[in-house]
Amino acid sequence: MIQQVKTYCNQCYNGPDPFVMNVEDGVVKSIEPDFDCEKFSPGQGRVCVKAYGLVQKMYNSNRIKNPMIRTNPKKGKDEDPGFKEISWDEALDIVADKLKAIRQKGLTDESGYPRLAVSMGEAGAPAAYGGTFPAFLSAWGAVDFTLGGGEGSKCYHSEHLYGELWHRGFIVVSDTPRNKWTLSFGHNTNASAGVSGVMRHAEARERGYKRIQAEPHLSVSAVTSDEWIPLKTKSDAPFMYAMIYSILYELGWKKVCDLDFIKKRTNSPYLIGPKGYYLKDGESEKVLVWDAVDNCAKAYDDPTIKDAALTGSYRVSNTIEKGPDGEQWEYKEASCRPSFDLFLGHMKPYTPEWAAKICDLPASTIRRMAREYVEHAHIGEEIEVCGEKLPYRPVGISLGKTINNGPGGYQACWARTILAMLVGALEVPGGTVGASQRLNRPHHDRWSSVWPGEDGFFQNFLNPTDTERRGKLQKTRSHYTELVPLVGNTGWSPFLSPVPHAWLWYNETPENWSKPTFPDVWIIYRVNPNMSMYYTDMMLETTKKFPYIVAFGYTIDETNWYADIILPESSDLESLQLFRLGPSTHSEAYWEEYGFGLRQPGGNLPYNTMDMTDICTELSARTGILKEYNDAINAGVILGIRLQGKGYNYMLDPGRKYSREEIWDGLCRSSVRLLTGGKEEHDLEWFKKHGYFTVPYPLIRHFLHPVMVKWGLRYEVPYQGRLKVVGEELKKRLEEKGIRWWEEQLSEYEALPKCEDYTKKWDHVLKKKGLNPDDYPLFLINTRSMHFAWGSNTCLPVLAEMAKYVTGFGGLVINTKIAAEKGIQDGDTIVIESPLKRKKCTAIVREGIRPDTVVLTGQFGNWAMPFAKDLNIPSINELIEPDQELFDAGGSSCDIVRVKIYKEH
Amino acid sequence: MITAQRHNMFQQEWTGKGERGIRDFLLIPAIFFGAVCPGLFISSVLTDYVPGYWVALALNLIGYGVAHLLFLGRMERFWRAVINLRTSWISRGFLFNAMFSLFGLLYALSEAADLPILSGPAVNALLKLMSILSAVLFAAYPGFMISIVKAIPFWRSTLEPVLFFLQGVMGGMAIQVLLMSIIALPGAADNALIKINTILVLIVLLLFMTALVIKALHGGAEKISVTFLTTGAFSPVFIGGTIIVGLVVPLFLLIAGLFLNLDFGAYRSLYYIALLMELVGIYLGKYSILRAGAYAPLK
Amino acid sequence: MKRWGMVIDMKKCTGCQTCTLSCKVYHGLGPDVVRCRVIEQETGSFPAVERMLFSLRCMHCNEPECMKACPTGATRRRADGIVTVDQDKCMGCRYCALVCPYQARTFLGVEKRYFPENGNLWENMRYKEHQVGTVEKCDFCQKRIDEGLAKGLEPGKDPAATPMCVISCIGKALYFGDLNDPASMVSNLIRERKGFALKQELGTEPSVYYLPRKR
Repeated sequence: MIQQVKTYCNQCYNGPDPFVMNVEDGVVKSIEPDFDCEKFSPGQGRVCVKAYGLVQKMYNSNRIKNPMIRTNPKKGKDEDPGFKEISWDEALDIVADKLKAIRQKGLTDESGYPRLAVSMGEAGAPAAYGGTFPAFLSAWGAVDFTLGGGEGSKCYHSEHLYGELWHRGFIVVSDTPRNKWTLSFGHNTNASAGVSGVMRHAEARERGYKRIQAEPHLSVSAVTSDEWIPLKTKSDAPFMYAMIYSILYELGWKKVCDLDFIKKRTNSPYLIGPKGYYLKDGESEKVLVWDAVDNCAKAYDDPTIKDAALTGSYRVSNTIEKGPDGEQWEYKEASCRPSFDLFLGHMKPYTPEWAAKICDLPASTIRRMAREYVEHAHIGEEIEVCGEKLPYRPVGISLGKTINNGPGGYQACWARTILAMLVGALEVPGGTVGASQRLNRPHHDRWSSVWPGEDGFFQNFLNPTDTERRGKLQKTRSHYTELVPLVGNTGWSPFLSPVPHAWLWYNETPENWSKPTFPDVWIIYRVNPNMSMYYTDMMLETTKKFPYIVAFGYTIDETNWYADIILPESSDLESLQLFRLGPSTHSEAYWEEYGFGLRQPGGNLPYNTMDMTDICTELSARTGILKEYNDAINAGVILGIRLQGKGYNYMLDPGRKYSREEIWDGLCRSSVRLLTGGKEEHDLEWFKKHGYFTVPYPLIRHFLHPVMVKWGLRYEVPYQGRLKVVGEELKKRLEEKGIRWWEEQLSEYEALPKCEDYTKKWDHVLKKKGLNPDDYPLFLINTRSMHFAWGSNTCLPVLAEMAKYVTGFGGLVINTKIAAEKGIQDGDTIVIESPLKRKKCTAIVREGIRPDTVVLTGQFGNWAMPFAKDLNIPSINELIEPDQELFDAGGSSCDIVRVKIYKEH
Repeated sequence: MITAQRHNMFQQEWTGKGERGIRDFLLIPAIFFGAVCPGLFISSVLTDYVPGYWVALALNLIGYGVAHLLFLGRMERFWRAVINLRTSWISRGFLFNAMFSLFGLLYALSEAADLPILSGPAVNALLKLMSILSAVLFAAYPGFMISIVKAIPFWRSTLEPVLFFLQGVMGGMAIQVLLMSIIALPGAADNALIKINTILVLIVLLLFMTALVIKALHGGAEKISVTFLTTGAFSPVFIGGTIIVGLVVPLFLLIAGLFLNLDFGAYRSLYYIALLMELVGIYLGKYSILRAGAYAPLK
Repeated sequence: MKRWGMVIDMKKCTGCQTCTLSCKVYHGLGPDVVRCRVIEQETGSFPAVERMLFSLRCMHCNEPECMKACPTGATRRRADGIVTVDQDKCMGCRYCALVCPYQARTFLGVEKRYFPENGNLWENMRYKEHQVGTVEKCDFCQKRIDEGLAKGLEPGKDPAATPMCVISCIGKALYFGDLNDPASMVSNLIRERKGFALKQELGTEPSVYYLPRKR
C-alpha cells in the first residue's frame, strides 16, 4: 500500500517547492509533484530534476552511515584520515567537550576573532535543512560566518549589494509574467532560476515575449531564447553603456524616455554642487531641484514644483554641500547642474562604435537593442494590479553571475538600473524588479523593508565609515564591516562579505593588515569550500592548519577529508522541520500566498543518521547552553515565530530537553497563530497531513513602486551621491591605517561610474606575472547546469546521468573552428592550462561558443568524494589564482581565467 | 548541418554493447553461419557432396542455432519466436531455419538410409526441393530482416536479400571446397565450383559497389553509413576486410589461378587462400553492414 | 474509441531532463535505462547556431514498426493506442529496439546498479519490478491511466491519471489527451500550432506531436 507523504525541496534558493513522497514499507519509492498547491506556489506544485534525485540521495550507499572520528592526526590530501565509526553518544560528547573548552576560554580569542567559526553553503538553502541550528548559534554568541565556501564570489554579488541599495533587489529580474521583452546578459534562468524561473519563462515564450540572450556561449538559457548575441565576456557594461548612449543621443531622450518617472522617482533633477555633492538648502538642509517654470530652486519634496529641470546650469544662493566625515561647505551663491545634466555629459564618450570594438559585435546590434528596448517599454501605459493602477513597462534587463562580479560588475548593475530608469521600468509591473531583500529586513515583505530616509531616498544601513563606530563592531576574518560598507551588518552580511580574502590572508597578509587567527573549532554545514572556492590548492593547504574541524557530513568530500569528526545528519527526505513558504525568494519565485511548510521523514532511516534538531538540542544540553537555546526558540529565532502570543503559549521550559516533535509542534501551532492573527491553530500532526498552511499575499506588494509613491521616495539613480561620500570616508579610514592595497576597489566609489574594456585587466594581470597574454588566448568561463546548481549533488550518479544529455557536462566546450585549428575532435582528451595549473579534460566541440572562449560546466575536480572523484572533470576553481586587481569594491571577483588548450601528447 | 547530437547515430542493439560479455556479440557469428550453412547445403546437395550437407546441418545447429539462442535475452522463451509469422521477419527466419533443419535432415536421411517412409524417388525429390527452397529462404531472410527497417535508410534496399543469399552460397561453396580437401569424394570437382565461386565473387563485388554508390548518392543517413564504411572509422574493416581481403584479392587470385599455368599443388594452395579470405570477408561484411546502420536524424 | 497521445511544445521545453528523471524514479529504472529523455541537436555554424531540443519517448505509433518486428507477440498495441511490452513474453531479440526510428527502447541486458558493491535498499526493492533480458520502454504510464480511469479521472487533466513526464515537466511543455477527440486540448494544439510528428514520412503515424519553436 503506497502512502503519500508531503514535504518540500529547498536544495536551491528558489524553493521551497512542495512535493509528495510515495512511501511503501518504509521506503520512499518515488516522488511526485504536489498539485494541492498548484494555485499558489510559483512552481505550481512541480519540482525540478534535482528533487527527483533526492530518492537516490537518501539511499546512496556512499553516505556516511555513522558518526566518524579521525584516527590519523596528520592532515593532507594524501593522508588517509582513517575515519573510525563511533556512536552518537560518543560523538556528541567529543564535540561538546571542544565547545565547552571554548566557553571556558571566552568566545573570542586574543585578536578579537570568534573562536567558533561556522560555514554554510548553497546560497542560504541550508536554513531549510538546519532545523534548530539557528537557535543553537544564537544561544552560543559570537560566531564567525565569514570562512565561507564561495559566497561573495560565486553569486550575483554586485547585484546583491547595489540592487538592495537602489531598490531592495537582492536579485534583480524581469517581471516575467507581465514582461514582453528581456535582454539577458548571461542570466542563466534555465539552469539556476528553479522551477518557477523555468516555468514563467516557458509560459512567457508561449505568450510571445521576446528574450535575447547576450553571452559568450550558447547556454541552456540561450538555447530557448529568441536570439543569441555572442557577446564577448565582460563586455556587458560597455554594451549597456552604448545602449544608454543610443537612447540618450540617437533616439533622443526627450522623445523616448519616461520623463515623468525620471523627474519624480529618481535623483535626476537633484542639483549637484561644485564639489560634486548634493546641493542643499542652507536652512532646511534639503536637497534642491530647479523648477523650470518658476525659475527657482526648490526643496526636492516641495509640492509646488511645476517642472523639475533635468538639464541646464544654475546659480542658487544660500546653499550647502556635505562631504565625508561631516565636512560642510556653505555657499552664498553656488553654480550647479541637475544630476541628469551631468549624467548626459558623462555618457557622451560611450558610443555604439566605441562599445562595438570591445564587445566584438557590430554597432548595429547595440543600436537595434536600444531601439527594441524603448519600443517595448509602453511608456504612459498602466496596468491594474490588485485593484490599483500601476505603470506598465514590460521591458527588462537581467544579469548573470560572471557579469555581476569583479571588474565591471558595478558598472553593469548601474547601467542596467539606468536603463530601467530611463523608461520608468524600475519596480513596476512588467519591468525590472527586485525579487527579494536579504541584507534588509524583513526578508519576507518588500514593502515593510522600505521606509523614508535621508534626502528623499529610503533608509539603508551601511557599515559605518567613521572611526568611532567602526571600532565597536565584532571582528570577523573577512573584515567585511571594515572593507565593504554596502554589505551592512545583518544576518546575511557575513555571507556576502569578501570571503575569499579571509582565506587569502591566511597565506599572504597584505601590508598593514593583521593575519587572521584560526578558529578553535570550525563547523562546516552543507558546504564543501575546498571545491567551491577558487584557488583550490591554496584552500587545501589552509584547511590543513585548522585546529579542529567538526563537519556535518553526507558523504566524504574534499573538505571533511580534513575533519576531525563527522556527524551525519539525516538528509532531505529523513528529517523534520518547518520552513517559510513565500512570499519571495532570491529569484523570481514570488508567491501570491505565504506561510509555512513542513519537511518530514518519508521512510525509515536507512543509516544511523540523526535529525539536525535533535543534534542541536543534544549539543546545547551537553555544552551547557540549553537554557539559552530554548530561550532563543521561544523568542522567535526560528523563522521569526515566537512561541507565545495573544491567546497562546507554547514556550519551552528553558531547563528541559525537548524532542524534535515537541519543538516543531509548538512552532507549527504558533506559526498558524502568527499568520492568522491568533485566530487559527494547527499542530504538527495537521501539518504532517496537509504539508503547509498559507494565507494570501497581495501581488502588488512585490512591486516597490506603490510604496515609493506613498512616501514620496526616490531611487538614488543615476547620481551616486551617497556612495561618493561613503567611498571617500572609507578611503580616509584605510589611509589612516596605511592600507594601499584596496585602492583599485576604492576607485569604484564614483558618483557616475566610468566604463572601460575590462578584458584588458586580464592581460595586465598576465603581464604582471611576466607572461605573454598571447600565450593564454582563451577566456575560460564557468556555467551551471540545473542538475548541479546548488544542492550538493556532485556525488549522485543519477544526476550525472541526466546532466550528460545537456551540452557542457563532462568536459570543456570549444568552438569548432578553434578545435579544428588545434586538431581537436569532439571527445578527444585535451589539456587545459592556466598560468597556475594544467588539467586534462574531454573536449566538447560545438559551434555555439565564441572562438575566444571556452566553458566548463559546474564545479567538479573532486578527488575524495565517492563517484565524483571518478568523473575526471576539471574545475575552473583549480585553475584560478586570484589577483587583487580583479576584485571589485564588494570584495568579489569573477570566474574568468585566461588559458590555453592543446591536444594531449 | 548537424554538428552535435546526443543520440545514437548507429544502431548498437545487434553489434553488441558488451554488457553481457560474449553473449552480446554472438549475433554476427549467428548471421554468418546462418548464411554460409544453407549455402554449403545448397552447393553440396546440387553437387551430391554428402559430407557437405551433413556438415552444413551440424554447423547450422551450433553456429547459428546455439549462438543465436545465447544472444537472446531470455533464451528459454525462444519458442515464442514463432508467434508472429504474419509480420515479423524474426518469426519467419525462425520458421525458415526450422524448415531448413527439418527438410535438410530428412533429405540427408533419405539419401543415407533405407528408411521406409523416406524412400522412393518422389519423396526424395520432394525433400530435395523443399530443403533447397527452405535453405534459400533461410539464407536470404536476414537480408529481408534488415531491408525492411525504415529507421535505418542504409539497409533499405532490395539488394540486401540478394546479397545475403549470394554471399551465403559463395561462402558455402568456399567451405565445401575446403571441406573436400579433408573429406575428398570421387566425382566431386573442385574446378566447376571454383569457376562458379569466381563468378559469385565478381557479382557480389559489383553489387556492393552499386549499392554503395546508390546509397552515397542518396545523402543523409545513408551517406553517413557509406562514409563510415569507406573513409570513416570502419573503413579498415569494410574496405580492408570485406572488399579487399574478402573480394578483390580472392578474385585476383582465382582469376590468376585460372589463367596462369600453375602446377596443381600451387593452384590449389592459391585458391584455398582465396577461399579462406572470402570467408573472412563475408564475416566482416556482415559485421560491417550491421555496424554501419545509421539512424536518420530526427528532423 | 480514445487514442491517447502527447503534445510537446518545443517552445517551452528547456531540456532540463526533469521528465527523464521523474519517469526513471517513478518506474524504478537503473543506470542508463530511460523511458524518455530530451536530446539536443545543434545546427548551423557560429554565430548563427541553433540547438534544437527533442523530448523523446515511445511515440505509440498507430503503425508501430516494433510491433511488426516483434516475433513473440510481447509488443502489443492496445485499443486506446498505447503500445506495450509484456515482459513475460519478450525473449530479448532486440529487433524492436533496432527498428524503432525514435530509439525509444532499451534492452535490459544485465541488472546494472548505481551502487554495485552494496546491497542498496532502494535498488533491491525497485529493480525487482523489471525482467533482465527483456526490452523496456515508455508505456504512457498505462497503470496511472487505467487506475485513473477506473476512479473516474480524466487522463491529461487529472494528474493522478496522467503520465509522470507530463505532470512533472517544469516548463509545462507536455500535454496529454485523446487525439481522436477533435475538441481535446491536444487536438486543438496540434491544429492551431501546426503540430508535427517526427519522421512522419516513414508512415509510423506517431501519437506524439511536436509544436514548432518558430511559427
